Amino acid sequence: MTITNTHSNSSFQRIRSIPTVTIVSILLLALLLVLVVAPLILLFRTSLAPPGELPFDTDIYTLENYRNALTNDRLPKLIFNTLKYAGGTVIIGVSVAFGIAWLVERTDLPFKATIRTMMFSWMAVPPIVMAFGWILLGNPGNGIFNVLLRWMFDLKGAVISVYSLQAMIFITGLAIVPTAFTMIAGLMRNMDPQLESAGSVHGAGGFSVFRTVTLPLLVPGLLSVGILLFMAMVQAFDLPLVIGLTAKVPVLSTQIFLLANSDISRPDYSLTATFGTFFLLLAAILVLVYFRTVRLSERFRVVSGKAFRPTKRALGSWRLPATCLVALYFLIMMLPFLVLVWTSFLPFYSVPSIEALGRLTFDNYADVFGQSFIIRALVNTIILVLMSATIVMVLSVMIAWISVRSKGRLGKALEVISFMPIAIPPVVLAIAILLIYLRTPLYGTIWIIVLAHVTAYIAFGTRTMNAALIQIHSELENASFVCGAGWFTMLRRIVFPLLLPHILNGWLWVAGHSARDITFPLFLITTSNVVAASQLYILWGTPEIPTASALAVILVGGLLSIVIPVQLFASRLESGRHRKSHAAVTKLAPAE
Amino acid sequence: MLVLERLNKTYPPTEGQSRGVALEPALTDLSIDIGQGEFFTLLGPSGCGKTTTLQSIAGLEHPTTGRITMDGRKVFCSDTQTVVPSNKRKLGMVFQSYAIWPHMTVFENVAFPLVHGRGGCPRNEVRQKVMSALDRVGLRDFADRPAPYLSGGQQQRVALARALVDEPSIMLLDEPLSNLDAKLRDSMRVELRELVKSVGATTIYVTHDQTEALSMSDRIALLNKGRLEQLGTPDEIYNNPRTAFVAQFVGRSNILPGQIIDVSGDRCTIQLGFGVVTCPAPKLAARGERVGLMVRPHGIVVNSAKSDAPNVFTGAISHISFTGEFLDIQVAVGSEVLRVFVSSYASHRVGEQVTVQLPVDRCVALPDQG
Repeated sequence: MTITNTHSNSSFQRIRSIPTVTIVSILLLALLLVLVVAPLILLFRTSLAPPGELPFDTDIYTLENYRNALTNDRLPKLIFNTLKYAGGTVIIGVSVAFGIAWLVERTDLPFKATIRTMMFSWMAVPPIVMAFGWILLGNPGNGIFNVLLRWMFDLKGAVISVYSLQAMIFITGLAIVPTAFTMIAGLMRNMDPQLESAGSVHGAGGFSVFRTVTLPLLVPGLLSVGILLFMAMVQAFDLPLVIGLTAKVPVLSTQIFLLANSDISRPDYSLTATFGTFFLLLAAILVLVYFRTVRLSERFRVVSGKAFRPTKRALGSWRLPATCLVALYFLIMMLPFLVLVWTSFLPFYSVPSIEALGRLTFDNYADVFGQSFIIRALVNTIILVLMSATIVMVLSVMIAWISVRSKGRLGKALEVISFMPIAIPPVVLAIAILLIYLRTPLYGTIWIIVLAHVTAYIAFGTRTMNAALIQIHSELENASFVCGAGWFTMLRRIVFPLLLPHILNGWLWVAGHSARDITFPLFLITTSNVVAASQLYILWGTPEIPTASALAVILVGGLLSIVIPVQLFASRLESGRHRKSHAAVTKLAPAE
Repeated sequence: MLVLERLNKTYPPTEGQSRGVALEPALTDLSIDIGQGEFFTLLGPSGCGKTTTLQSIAGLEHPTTGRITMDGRKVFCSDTQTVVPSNKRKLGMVFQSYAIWPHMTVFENVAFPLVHGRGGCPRNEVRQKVMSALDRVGLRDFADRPAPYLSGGQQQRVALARALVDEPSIMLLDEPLSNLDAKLRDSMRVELRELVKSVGATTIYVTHDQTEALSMSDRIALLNKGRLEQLGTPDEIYNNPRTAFVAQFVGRSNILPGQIIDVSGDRCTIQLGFGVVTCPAPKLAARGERVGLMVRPHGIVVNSAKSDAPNVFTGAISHISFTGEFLDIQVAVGSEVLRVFVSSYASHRVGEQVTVQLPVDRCVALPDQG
């Protein structure tokens, strides 16, 4: 868009003024280049520096790091572990989520609203908290399961162990079910039931309709959900760190962390950057595969845009078993958290027993609120969560508006660059950010983590805002321009209020992920910018398990107390508006 | 007052279109001069460029080349790279979807141009101005209602009030009646015209509905494929279409192929498939030129009492359909079929022999486009 505004007093004297949108676009583009592109360039440069050197200290370019990395005999094992871990978790996660989503969306299963709320609220439980819970449940020594099994069957030693690749896959697989559920339930909700009705009208039975119509229609969508999760799991860091390192199952992300945080020698940043480059490449390939699949599934689009009420199948005598299975899933998910709650009230960790009841105490909570470094971590967390979620959403709304509404090159560039971080594994981004800001005053403050989270979550923010903005008729915005409002007034008075439910949901997602993330806080850690998640990791390693448990409970409780009310408010806002504006929307839709 | 000069617009190729394909321009050399206070209609089929023109006037789109002047103020000029943005053009506009903001009340919607617009409206005047605008559209009692709780007709009135409230000198109306049901549309036509006329604003009205265009406008510009096809009063457009496209788009018409065989004074004689007719000579008519003879279905007189009148032919009724308001009959004359509307009180039957008279002043010779 090259809009210029000229007031010509005479034919040769002109004063040009560039419109707000163009200025904002250029500023945003510059910001994204600094946030996203600059760290990657530095990462690549570092990987070409001589081993052990930082790029600032040298002007030599060499491929030696690549030679070292490629000849490293552990590399194939690392990649194999990573792929196996990601593949396994996705298979478990998608299967369980598919089952529950089908029960919730297409049958008369009871407690649907509760299930949906619980699935969404699960976002408030950081994976690292889950991992700690599982360790208490299933560690080979005094894990509750082992103690219980030994006592019941009179066995010796470790019956089951959480420290194995299989256990990691199982735990992570269950942990990604809520995310997978949200996406798959969306797919099923948007499927026109007439397609299935057509199958049964033409003589197919219940199961063969499912096999020949429902499933084939869902496959492309499921495939893209699967690949998206696979991408996320290849990049996963927290569970592989907490469980995988003890289990001696390193994956790419944890290996990079070990290289950058070596206990025995000074960190080898150039080799780390090299591994990061490999990792980036792998992730980029997955993103390309993802886009291919998405384009493929577009052809199968069964979203007709019509409003319809999918037919619900009656479960009949299967109703009770199905409900029990879903309840069992939630029980399994709750267990690790319950065990942490138990531990948080004990002076030292012990298996639940009547005798231990006598030792219950609030000391751990007093400890958490009594120690200045934990207080500081909590304050840091609050700053981090509020700032990164707010900045991400404000930037996302502006970027999304420009890329959806303006047809120019700037909009296209903004869209592409803001989406790039999805292909950058958090560990790689963390290393890149570490390298670029290591020698600036920003390093060591909480703001560097805010900056990292803004970079990491901007892709999610712009994607969701893009999707939401497309549903708004552009005439609503044009009307405000014609009424004389400027661009910022339009955003503030029209786009923000209209998108509010979506903005709130997006804000929550970013806030939740920002609070639970441990990658950036650990990579960028100094004594002054510890947040709750990294403090938790430190306490656990010390080990002060009861204090860590108390902090974990506080973190989860705090998140839940934000997530649930805001989510309820947003969904009420949206459904209320839907009801009210039903007439308006049907009027708006056919125009154009 | 509002002058459009040689506007051209070509949209950039969208994704998926191959680059080599020459793009059809959305506007080609469009020049229109609209007078102060005029009710001016842009009429045409979808894709003719009327919306592009309106959006260009509004500043929501920009022509590739050309110049737009409002009240002597240059708001767009491709030569000097002048573009006055939308919010500085001092316009009122009613959108096709009405674009009533669903998160505001009626009052807030109407007050928006005063509060967030060009400014200069003191706070205490806002209420009074909004209420008087709502008064004009008959929605005074709805001021505090949330916008989604309005019917289509009420939304349209709110949109009108919002466009009028700041007393713009130019009003843009983008198919404002197309989303209303048929009955409401009929009554709104008169009301809408009177409303904008009473404000004294110059009005640009976009529609694809010929009835709206004919009944409301002072002048009509009929567009086709981005070009100005004909510009004139409703009467001129309807009774003296300059091309076959205009004749077919506005009203129904019979167009019969023929050839001018004689021109004398302001009359000419045309040889048709089934005989010879006399009609007013078109400008620059030349003997031997191929033309289309246009006559409206209800311009044809069936079984005229005057047997010595010119242009009378005999034919047989091949088809009758009863529409209620009139009889739509087809008369086969020679190898041609004429469509004729007659009073539904007349009685005719298929196969009946009738005479058809094409009154001289109701015939129009159109340039042949085949």
